[in-house]
Amino acid sequence: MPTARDAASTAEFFDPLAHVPNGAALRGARDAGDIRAVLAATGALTTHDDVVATLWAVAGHATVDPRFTAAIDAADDGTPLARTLRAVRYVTVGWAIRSRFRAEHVSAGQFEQFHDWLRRAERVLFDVCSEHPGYVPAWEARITTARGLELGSGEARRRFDRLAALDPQVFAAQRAYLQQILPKWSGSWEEASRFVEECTAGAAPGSLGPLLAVDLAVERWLDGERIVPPAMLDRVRQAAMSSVWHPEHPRTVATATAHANLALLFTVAQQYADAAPHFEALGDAPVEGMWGYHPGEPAVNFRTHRDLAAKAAAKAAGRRGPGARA
Amino acid sequence: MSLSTDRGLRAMFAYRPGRMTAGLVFRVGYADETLPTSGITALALALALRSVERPGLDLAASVGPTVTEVRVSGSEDRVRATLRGLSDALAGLPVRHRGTEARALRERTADVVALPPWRFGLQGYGLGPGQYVGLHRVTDDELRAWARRWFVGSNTVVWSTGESTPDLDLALPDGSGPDLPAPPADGLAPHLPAEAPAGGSKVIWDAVVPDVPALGVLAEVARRAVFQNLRHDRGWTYDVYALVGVLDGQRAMLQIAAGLRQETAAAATGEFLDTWGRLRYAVDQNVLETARAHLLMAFDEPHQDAMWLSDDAVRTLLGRPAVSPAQRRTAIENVTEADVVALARQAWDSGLLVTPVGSGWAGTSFVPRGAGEPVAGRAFERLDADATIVVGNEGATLRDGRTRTTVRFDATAALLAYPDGGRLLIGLDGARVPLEPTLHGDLDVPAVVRLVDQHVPSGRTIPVPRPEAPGRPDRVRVQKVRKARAEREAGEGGLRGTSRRLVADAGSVGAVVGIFLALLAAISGVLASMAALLLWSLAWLDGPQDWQFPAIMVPVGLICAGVTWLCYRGLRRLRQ
Repeated sequence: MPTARDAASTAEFFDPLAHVPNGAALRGARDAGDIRAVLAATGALTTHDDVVATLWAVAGHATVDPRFTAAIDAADDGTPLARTLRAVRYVTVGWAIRSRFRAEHVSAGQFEQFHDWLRRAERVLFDVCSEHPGYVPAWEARITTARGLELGSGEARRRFDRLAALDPQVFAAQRAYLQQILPKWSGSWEEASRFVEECTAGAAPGSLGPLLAVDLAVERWLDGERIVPPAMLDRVRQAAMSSVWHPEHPRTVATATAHANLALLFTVAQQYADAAPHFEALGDAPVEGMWGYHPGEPAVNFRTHRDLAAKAAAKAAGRRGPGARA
Repeated sequence: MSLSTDRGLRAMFAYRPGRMTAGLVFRVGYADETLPTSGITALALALALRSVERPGLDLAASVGPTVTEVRVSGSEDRVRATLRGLSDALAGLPVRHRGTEARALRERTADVVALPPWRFGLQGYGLGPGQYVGLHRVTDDELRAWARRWFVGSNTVVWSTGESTPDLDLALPDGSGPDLPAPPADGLAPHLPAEAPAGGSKVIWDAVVPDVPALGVLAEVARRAVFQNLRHDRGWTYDVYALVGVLDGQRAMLQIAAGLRQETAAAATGEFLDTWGRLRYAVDQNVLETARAHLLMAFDEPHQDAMWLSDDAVRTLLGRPAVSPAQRRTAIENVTEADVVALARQAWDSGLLVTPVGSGWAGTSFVPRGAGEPVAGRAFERLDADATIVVGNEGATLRDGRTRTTVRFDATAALLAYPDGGRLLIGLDGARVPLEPTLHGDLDVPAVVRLVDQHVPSGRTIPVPRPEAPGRPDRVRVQKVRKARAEREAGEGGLRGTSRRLVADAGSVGAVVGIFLALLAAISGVLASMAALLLWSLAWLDGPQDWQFPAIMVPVGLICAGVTWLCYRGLRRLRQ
């Protein structure tokens, strides 16, 4: 389990806000506890994936610090955005208590607190969705509260469908619902595969839907399937071409998450040359994505494998000859 | 419409051509009962109806929380004969068929979703169908006394519709008693909205709100919204309803519900709540106008006075001012969207949710029961579960896992007493603490009598039959529970618990070693005595031997064999 210090260094190394328009200002406001400025900057974002990622990134900051929760509560001006931030904060605080253990390793006391926080969050989100049924970020958070409160995959799906009816291409929502239907949360691999197919088939040109296959592949690897099937790798390469590498792809913070996850999958499949362009796409601003799943300290892993990937890519380029185009 | 009073009995009449319909409305209902008398109103009415019912008679009756109604239609003679017969029966209640009628009442209401107790506790408005346990205790004298107290002229309105005012001349007892106002419909449940795990296969939202004209409109709007989303758009339910029920005249109950199918129950519950919760913020103007038009259709029917007469009778009994049909119509016409939205908020804020799936919907929690301060007293551990019951002078507390359920003797609704000595202590809030001698190693029937029975007033003790006490758990189960208890205590108690467990473990290891050594010694003893006897027998070849030797060795061998057997049994028991 990562210690608080590890978590701090991880949080500094991985920074999803770096990929959000005006991210530096957002980070500054968050670190200074200036939630009103955070809300103002978040309110100016135009894509749902950016808003959602910003809410989770801000809410997930210093989860053990009650003063930060109080600051978020105090900044609630009644707007759906401020209320959703409050709710997402409650979810992250609750989830930090539950920690990353699987359900069978969480004590009864931890579960009680976890559910208490999720109920607080759900109360807020329920009211936001009642008053503003078209507010996508609140529906996105409700997919996760449905999972934590164990309301059933039918309910999580309904929430996802309500959101998809408003905006069918919110990658964060697709990823959140996929968690619900994985075997670790009462679903099955078949159900998860069907959903991945569905998102792939329904994806707009250049959108991230096809890359849900990466989440699924990493989850299977985490579950013990240590060799990623070559067919899956081919499929993922193809999915990358039709999404993050597609000329019409709209860049959001979800793009960065997708690159991080692609890099992780190719890393665990030991296809470093394939991982390299995704590491490169992140540049100096890595995001964590699913790197927390990799055994060891995520930031160290990320750096190590990024270097390995860079060497492998250089070697591959060398093999193609100095005149070949990278 | 005409209103007259005859010896305290109020009579209302409205003209309507055709056959006569008449009814008796009494200001009594289950909210006037207590758990030890629960069902007494329904039983008294059932016994009285039994004496007037005939095949083909168009007769209906109901017991509500505060009002009991009987309605009969037919020729004037038939109606008059029925209501007179009923009045006579109520004045001198025939109790001969008490057992049969009581059983029928209990059986008919056995599968009712017991929602009201979660709001009101097991008292007043929380009683009613499904809570007729008091019928096990109610005596003939109590039944007659109940009828004489409540079914009196001054507490009754008789209404009739037909072509002429009938000469009913009912012989209800003296109609000059004091007014018996309805008890206030105050709920116990704090922190609403909340969830009530009342079971069933429906999702229900139950609320208590002011009894205002907007309520009927809200119910109709909610019914239509839920029908549209759950039935029409998604097909997740077959039956949607919205009911308004009379409580104390000031407040009314609103219940919105939809039946669920197992495979879509979670999604349907979520959609139901989102649809209903939305009405707190906005009501579709079209839906509102359609709902209003639907409600106003009733006012286009002829003979309006006759149509609303039974409702007027109920209003009169509950002390509410009379309203004319025109006033009712105007009130519905004047309901605005803001009225409906404001009332929906009140209905939300006073709501109880029942659903068979999940918990935490809309961030709600279960209504707490037995949440008072745990009592101090003697502790009795359960053999069949990691649970303990503490009984003191103030009450009893059940500790089961992390939950504590306390029932104080001064807040006891009833104590169910089973013939085998088992007891169930029920709090006014509905909390239950079972005291079952067969499920404890150290609690016997005399102890239960001494610790519990003596603290509960005899009027609250209900003898309830049951075929047998819960079976004593087998040894495997007891061992498993003991282990689970030790593990939990070790987890909770930290170092102290761990050391206690270590001591316990060391004790059991010591016992095993001790028994094993004794077993070895005993086997050696058996073998040695057998060998000695063999040698003694061989020695006979050399001539006669002393008989004293086998006289000692045979009993020694037998004792050793006995010890071996005991040690073997002991080891087997420890292994379990």
